[in-house]
Amino acid sequence: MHDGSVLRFTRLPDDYDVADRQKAFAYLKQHPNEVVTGVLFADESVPELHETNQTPGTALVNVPYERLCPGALQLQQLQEEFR
Amino acid sequence: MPSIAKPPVAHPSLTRNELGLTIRDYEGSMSTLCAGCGHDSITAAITRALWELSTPPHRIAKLSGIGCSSKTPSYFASGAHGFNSAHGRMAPIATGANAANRELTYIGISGDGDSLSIGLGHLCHAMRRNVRMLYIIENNGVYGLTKGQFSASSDVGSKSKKGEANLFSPIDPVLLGLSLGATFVARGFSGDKEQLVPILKAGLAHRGFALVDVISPLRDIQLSRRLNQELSSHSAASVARDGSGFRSAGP
Repeated sequence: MHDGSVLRFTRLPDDYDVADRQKAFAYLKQHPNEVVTGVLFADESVPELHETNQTPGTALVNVPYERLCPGALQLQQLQEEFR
Repeated sequence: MPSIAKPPVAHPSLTRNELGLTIRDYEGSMSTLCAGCGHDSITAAITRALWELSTPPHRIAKLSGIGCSSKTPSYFASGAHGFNSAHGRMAPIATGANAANRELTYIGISGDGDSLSIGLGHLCHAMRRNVRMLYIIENNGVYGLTKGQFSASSDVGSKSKKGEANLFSPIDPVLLGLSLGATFVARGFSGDKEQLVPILKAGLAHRGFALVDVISPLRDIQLSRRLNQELSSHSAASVARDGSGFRSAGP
C-alpha cells in the first residue's frame, strides 16, 4: 500500500460451509490478520421484502388502475373497519 | 466531466451469450477514474457477470450514491435503467424502486464513505428488510474523490498521504452484515477477477439482499496525477513504451 502496509488476501477453502452464520464469525475470528475473500454466508430461507409485505407478484405499473386505486368507497369501508 | 461514449464497434469473433449479445453490449461509457483504479476492475467484473448470466440490459436497474464508486454505474450496462442518488441514499431509493417494480434486477453500487458513514442506517435497514438486490461496496478505505480523508473503513494506524495516522477503529461491512442478519454476505478483491465474477453472479442470483464488500485499494493519488500528466503530454503509445505501466494497469 502507499504507506508501506501490506494486505494479505486469503480465499475461503472449497469445503467451507456457507449455510452457517456462526461458522462465518468463527472463521473470520480465526484469521484476524487476513482479508478473507469468498461467499461467507448465504441463506435463501428468509422471505424477501415482497414476500413479507405480500405485495403483488408483478410490477405496479402492470396492475390495473382499478385495483391499484379502488376509489373512495373502498377507502371508506376500510376506515369503517378500524372504528 | 461529461461521459465519453465508446465506439460501438465489436469484433466479429466475440462470443455471444444466450441473448445473442457480446460483452461489449454490457459496457458503458469510458471511465474517468484515475488510471489503474481498482473500481474499474470491479466494473469489468460486473460487466462479465451480467453477460455470462445473459441478463437483458433493459431489465437491469443500477443505482448509486456519491463518490468515486458511485460514478461507476455509468461505465457498465449503458442500456440499463440508472439512478444516481444523494450521498448515502442509494439503499432507500433502491428499496422504493424495488417495491414498485419487482421484475428488474437491482444493482446498487456504493463506497465505504457512502455506505459506512452517512448511509450506514439505510444500509442496515435494507439488509433488515431483505430487499432483493446486489449491493456492492467498492471499499478503498478512503474518501478518494475529495483527495484522501480517512473513511469509516480505514484501518487504525493507516497513514494519509501527509503522514497522519488514523485513530479510529474501522467498521467492517462483512461483520456488520453477518450481525444484522443479511442473507448473503461475501467479500472480494478488485484484483482477483477469477473469484470476483462468480461471487457477483451468486449475488445476482440470490433471492434477497446480497452484500458484497469488494476491497479496492486506492491507487496513489499523486502517482495517478503524475501518470495523467504524462498521458496528456505524451501520446498513449509513448507512455506504454517507456515502461510506466499505464496501459497495462488500465481496466
